[in-house]
Amino acid sequence: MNILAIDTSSATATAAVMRDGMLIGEYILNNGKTHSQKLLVMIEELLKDCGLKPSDLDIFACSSGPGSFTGLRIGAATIKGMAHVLKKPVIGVPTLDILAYSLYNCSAIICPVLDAQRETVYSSLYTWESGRLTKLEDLRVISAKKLIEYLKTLNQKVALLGDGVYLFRDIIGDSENISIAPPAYQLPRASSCAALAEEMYNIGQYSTYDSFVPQYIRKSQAEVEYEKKQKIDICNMEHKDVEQVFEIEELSFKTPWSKEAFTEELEKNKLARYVVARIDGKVAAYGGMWMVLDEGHITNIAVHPEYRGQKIGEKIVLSLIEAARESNVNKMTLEVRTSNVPARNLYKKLGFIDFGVRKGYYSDTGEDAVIMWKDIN
Amino acid sequence: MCKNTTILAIETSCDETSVSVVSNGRNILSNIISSQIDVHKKFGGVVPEVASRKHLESINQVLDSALEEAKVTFEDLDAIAVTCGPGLVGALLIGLSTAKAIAYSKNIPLIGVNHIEGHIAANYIEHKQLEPPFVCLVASGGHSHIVNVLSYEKYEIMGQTRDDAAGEAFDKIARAMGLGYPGGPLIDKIATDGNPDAIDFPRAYLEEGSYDFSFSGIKSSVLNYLNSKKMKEEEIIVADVAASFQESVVEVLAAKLVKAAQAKQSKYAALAGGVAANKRLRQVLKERGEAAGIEVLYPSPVLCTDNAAMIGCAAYYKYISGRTSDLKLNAIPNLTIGDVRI
Repeated sequence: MNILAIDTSSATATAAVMRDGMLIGEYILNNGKTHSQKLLVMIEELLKDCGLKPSDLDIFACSSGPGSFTGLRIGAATIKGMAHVLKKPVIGVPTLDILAYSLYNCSAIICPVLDAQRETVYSSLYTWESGRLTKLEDLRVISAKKLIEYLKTLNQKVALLGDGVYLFRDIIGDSENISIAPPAYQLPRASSCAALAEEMYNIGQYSTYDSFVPQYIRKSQAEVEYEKKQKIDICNMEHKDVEQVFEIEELSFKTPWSKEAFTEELEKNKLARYVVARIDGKVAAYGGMWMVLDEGHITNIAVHPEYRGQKIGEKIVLSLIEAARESNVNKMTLEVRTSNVPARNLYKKLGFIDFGVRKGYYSDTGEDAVIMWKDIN
Repeated sequence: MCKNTTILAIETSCDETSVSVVSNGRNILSNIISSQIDVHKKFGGVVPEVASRKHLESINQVLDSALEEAKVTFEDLDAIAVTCGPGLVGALLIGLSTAKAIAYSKNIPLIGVNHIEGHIAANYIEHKQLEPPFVCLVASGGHSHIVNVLSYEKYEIMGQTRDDAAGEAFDKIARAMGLGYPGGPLIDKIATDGNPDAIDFPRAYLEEGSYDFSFSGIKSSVLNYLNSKKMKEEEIIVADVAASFQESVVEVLAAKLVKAAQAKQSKYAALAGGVAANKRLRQVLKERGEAAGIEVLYPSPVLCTDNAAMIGCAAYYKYISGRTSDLKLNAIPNLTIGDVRI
């Protein structure tokens, strides 16, 4: 099985061919030329040097984002175009995963930082757990200063890599725990993309040439401005929302509910109440609870990545509290991952109080859940 | 018998994702146009980042539709044509990257096409007997050129706009009158109910003998008219303003094109580009052309808007003369007619 993988999410262009877990060839160029001029020439040279023709390839992989919008699109359009002609699957590998993968079995926390302009970076935290790359935290877009402050509070060794490291050189200060990876590891490697793509392919995580789209994380400025002017409507979830709700669920949780689960909640569960936040007709967030006698138990809350940071989650929780009040519910409760600091802060702000811990509540990672309660009447 | 030459063409320079299959240059087997207009309407114009994202989302489906409708497969293609400029760079890159990937994967030639030359070539599809030389006015949201088409590959720019493009002026005036986007078709439509002589807006003919255009004067004049009416709290008859504005733009375009055709002793005066779909422009040109003994040609409306068939047609003439591109081909947002960079 031959995999062609590329990454064009930053100024670096890289392409690799992997056959059955063995790297056959890899090119990487960070020479300032545009991807449009160098990418296809690079692929052509690489395949020629590997003694392969395009028709010998079985899987096409590229970085799925985040990264430079134009860079991601040049990579995606190229990969989709080739996969289209050759009728082969397309695999989009998250850019931050590709970067983190380069520091195999590193004992420090791995913190890839991709330049997101205006002194901000796209970032997440990773660690290796028994040979598997595991994402600890999704930080999305964060200012370099805030990220450094946060990393210092971890009191653990952290390795920074990615094209955003230049923002950190001067602000690391005297922290002995935080270090920047050497040059060879700072750039994304197509070989890492290929290896991750193979893992994803083996568990059936692949798309087709017409379904794959990059995850930009950020919207265009024009859309952001436009949405600021739009009203946020909170209303009851309907059947037509399930498709979009499921999309948000998948983007938000490691073990998402299925579409059927949501449909069943809407159709059969008389105790359930689900709401959605609509902006310009699109579902931006949703939340739900079960009302059992005088207790309201929040089941799930999620905000689409593109709409986070706009206090929409808060609006969802407030609307659930209001609905519970109207149904003569006296107390509300929920469980939240110990590591999910932003969510815990939100609940605290809305009057929820920590009430205990359920050990190993989350079966996917074995993480504890914090139980929170709030009196509402 | 000669084998047919089948070219697949891709056009993504602005807000239409279009793919076409063209046989022997002038025979359209399919011409699929997926417009993003509804997406951009709420912003009052095309947002480049949004356009680029949409192109990437839809291009492969549009491609499949074009192949299906033409009843061909990738195996049947002789070359891949693609617009490489002028246009929005992010948008162009989607078509370009897709075209390069296909050309490379199938090992067939890639042909970069100039979007404006594509607009001119739309006339070859519509008028099967038309051959260069002829004089052509290319007018759209981004361009206003009078071109002497010397051959399939040689162009002489006789005149061009010194400020706004003709279509841009339509868009801006439509927006000022609250008609919406895109302005061209909206003004064209509402003007049919108005009096073109109601308001005497200026006509910018510029200096004697010039084939250049300037639309900023007329634009300011309409805006001033609208403002002064509002200040005096007088009623604005939108249809009259639209008709009078359109008339002054159309008259200048028509007069200069006919004059240019006469100067070059061209048998034909051709129209191309989005503004070529304007009904009043077509009518005025017909009249003036007849009076001057010049035959006026224009493509059907679907070939006036951005479409890939015109790109496929222009590419055919490059293909038969061996002018193909390599895989380094880049998007050139400021490409001009006859530009040697491609």
